[in-house]
Amino acid sequence: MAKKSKNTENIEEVVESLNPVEVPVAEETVKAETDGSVVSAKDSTLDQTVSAVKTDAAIFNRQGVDVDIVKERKKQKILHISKNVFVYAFLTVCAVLAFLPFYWMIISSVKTEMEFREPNPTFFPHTFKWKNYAAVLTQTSSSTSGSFWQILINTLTVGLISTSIGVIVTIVTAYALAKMNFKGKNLLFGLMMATMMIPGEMYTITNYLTISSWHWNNSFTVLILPFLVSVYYVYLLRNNFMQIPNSLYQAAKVDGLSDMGYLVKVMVPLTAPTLISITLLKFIGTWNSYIWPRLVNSPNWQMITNWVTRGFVDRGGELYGGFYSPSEPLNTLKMAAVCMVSLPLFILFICCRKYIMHGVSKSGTKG
Amino acid sequence: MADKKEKPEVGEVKKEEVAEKKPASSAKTATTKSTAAKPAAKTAASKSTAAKSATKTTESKSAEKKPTAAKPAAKTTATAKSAAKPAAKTTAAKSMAAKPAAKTTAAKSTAAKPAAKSVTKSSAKKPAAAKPDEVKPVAEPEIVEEIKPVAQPETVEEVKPVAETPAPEAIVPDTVQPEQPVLPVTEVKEEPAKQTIMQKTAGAFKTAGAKTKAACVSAASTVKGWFVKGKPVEATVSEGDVNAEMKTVLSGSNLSTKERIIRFCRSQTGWLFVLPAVVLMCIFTLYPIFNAFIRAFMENYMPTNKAHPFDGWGFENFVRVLKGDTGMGGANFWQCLLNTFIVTIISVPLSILIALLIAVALSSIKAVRKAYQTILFLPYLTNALAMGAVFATFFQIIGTKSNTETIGMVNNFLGWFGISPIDWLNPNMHAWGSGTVKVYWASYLVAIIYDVWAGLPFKILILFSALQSVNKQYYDAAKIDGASRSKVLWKITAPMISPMLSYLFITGIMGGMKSYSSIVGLFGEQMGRDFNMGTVVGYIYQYIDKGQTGYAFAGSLLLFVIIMIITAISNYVSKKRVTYT
Repeated sequence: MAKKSKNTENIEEVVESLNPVEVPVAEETVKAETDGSVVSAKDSTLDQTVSAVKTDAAIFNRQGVDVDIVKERKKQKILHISKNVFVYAFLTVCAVLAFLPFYWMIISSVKTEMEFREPNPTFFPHTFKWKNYAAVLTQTSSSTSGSFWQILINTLTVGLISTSIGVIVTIVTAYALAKMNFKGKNLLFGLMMATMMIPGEMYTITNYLTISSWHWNNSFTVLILPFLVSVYYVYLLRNNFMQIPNSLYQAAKVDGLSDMGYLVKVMVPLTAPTLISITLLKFIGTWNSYIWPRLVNSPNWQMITNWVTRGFVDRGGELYGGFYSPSEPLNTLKMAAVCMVSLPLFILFICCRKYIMHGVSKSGTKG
Repeated sequence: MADKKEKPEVGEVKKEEVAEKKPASSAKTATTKSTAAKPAAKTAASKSTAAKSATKTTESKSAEKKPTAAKPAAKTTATAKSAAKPAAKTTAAKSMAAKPAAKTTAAKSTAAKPAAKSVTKSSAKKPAAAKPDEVKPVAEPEIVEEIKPVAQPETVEEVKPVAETPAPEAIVPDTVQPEQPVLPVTEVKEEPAKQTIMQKTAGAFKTAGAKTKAACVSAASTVKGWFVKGKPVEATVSEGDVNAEMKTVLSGSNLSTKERIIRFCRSQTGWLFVLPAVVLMCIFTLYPIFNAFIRAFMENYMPTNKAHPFDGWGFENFVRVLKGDTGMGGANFWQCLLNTFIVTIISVPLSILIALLIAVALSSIKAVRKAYQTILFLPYLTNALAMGAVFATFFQIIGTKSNTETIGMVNNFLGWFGISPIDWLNPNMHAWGSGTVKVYWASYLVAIIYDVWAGLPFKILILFSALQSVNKQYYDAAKIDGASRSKVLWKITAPMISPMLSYLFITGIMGGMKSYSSIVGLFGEQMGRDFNMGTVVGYIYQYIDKGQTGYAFAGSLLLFVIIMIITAISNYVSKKRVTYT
């Protein structure tokens, strides 16, 4: 009941704040109103309710309300401020926790290894060792991994080609599924949707066997072709295309535009934000691919995430003068490598934040 | 419509302009008719292909004639308009070559729609320029016509014949067409010289009424023809008709087989568009699925041994995998399954809960929201391997706590509470149970923390947009009804975002069961000392590396079945609990 009275009090307050003239109302009439609306006078079992309502009515009394309004307003203000403080504090804590690994990654990459291994980890390095980056960049290719530049070229090539061709194929496929009528269209679309549910690992083994039998190992085509078409993006783009009204198509037909011309000149500009999002997400997906390159390619042909998993050692003692043995993986070097792998994606994010977030929320996938 | 009655002159003037505007704004095939259409419109008795403008003028004038309410008038306009299309169709069919006729018919009828729309705008503009106070009554009837959905299916239907005819044949109608409108116009021209204006209008009304009736009848018979099965009626050839051959080709029942095939192939151009995707999918997606199903049942599959690739068909692969003893060393299937299952079932709901709290907090502040959103979205872009390595450094123990060795940040933090250091990344050190299948709770915690952190931005984004998309009217209604905050939360907010919650839950579980990169990033390629901490996917890849593809196929099939079961359960639960608007 107390809660109820509070709510009704708030509404009363609001109404009164709107009403500039305060008319004094007799206590009895107010009581009579509330009695009549809440409970019947003859019902004896609800006496408790009646008495509670009577206390409410007492509060509704003009004199009581004047004092309580000011108190109520103060209380509401305090509640509002404390709510805001609490929310901001919570969000700040979450943001700090979300950002902490990045911060740790960046400062660890410029620490010395000794400082990294101190018993009490420091949050700001005493000394900056920029040579970590040089050491990581100049690591030559070994049996388990290629050199950084080779791997970078691999990744960029595969990323650009896969993204461009993949987006074109996606556009054309989605357009055909959305606007054109051909026999078996629904069956094809249903089949594509069904493959979304199946875990990718079921394809991987057979694809590996297929590719081995075709001798596509150690090349770029094997990294590009199998994953050119992503059904998620076809589905997303098809939905976007279906939202464009048919009358545009008919007007274009009247002007003598072919199907392909309509696609290029009308549809693509209209759905440009979604297309940009798909492009970005595809590129991020190829950048992050790990399993497939490890399976089918030798270390020189692998991608940048494969390169990160190698152990970085201090060869020849150039960093620490032989303090660490040549086979001991150094954590700071690994952090420097991780920094370099993550850096391009950050730059991409800063430039195109809006499109990436828009694409993620629409497509609902990670690519 | 009542206003229209008062000013018939404006209506007439407007109709002339309408008649002008319509051919002018439609396709170039119709431009040749515009000059013919003008005098035709004036007399309003033409039988030319500007019959549409004629029916339009006549129908609105007939509406003036009958002072009924706007609705029946709109109905006649709509039916007359829809009738104009089959009327135009049949009239064109009677007189033209087959393909150019189809194109012009479609072009005209498709021109009718954009023409109607442009007419609305032009007629709305023109009277506004001429007499500003008559915009409203003039614009109304056309707008009413537009809204009527009756006309819609016709245009969709006519897209098909347009798709059939290739573009180069567009030249033909331009040359052939002008013949047709010339003939009837010459007939009509003789009349107006001898009649008074009153007689002209009376005659116009009569012919308009007759035309409307004829159009309605032909429309009705066309609609009837859609539903009445039977041999298609051949178009009758009237005497003296110049292009008699065209009709027989159009009716479609006497095409040769070759022409039928050509026509069918032309209509399936969509397949050309999807060809690359279909080919790639067949090779890399559909074939592997069948292959996986078949190969999983081949025992002792050895592709290198061409003579005797496999022993026989049987369940031995599955039996060996499920027993946990494949005789090859390596992970235990049940251990991997337990790892995956526990990590997923804890991290996904926890992640959704935290994401919901953060989304609610984000939607209740306005000031610095974008900055918070950006920072909270950062974990999405990271690579599982890279960030796994970073998380590993939090938990890593290098040696013992001394001057040159560290025990990791988390252990230091726990040391403040007096808890002895825990070797997080070594699963065997802290485990419950003592059989072959143990519960590595310390390592599970590490994996859960990483999964929650990495899955957060995506969920925050989706839940935030779901919260924003709840209709504000519900909250206003709740305020008016005096609902408390918990009631608002449980009765309004939760049902409205429940579709998104269920989607996140299902995809989260499906993704969690397939996790692999995060475990490799955290625990290294060996996944914690001889694949103790492996996942089901890690199990599959381990056997691929060893070359025993039979067990890998069996494992992947088992994974597929498990994911299907979990998805089916989630679907069933969500059907009961989720409210879809």
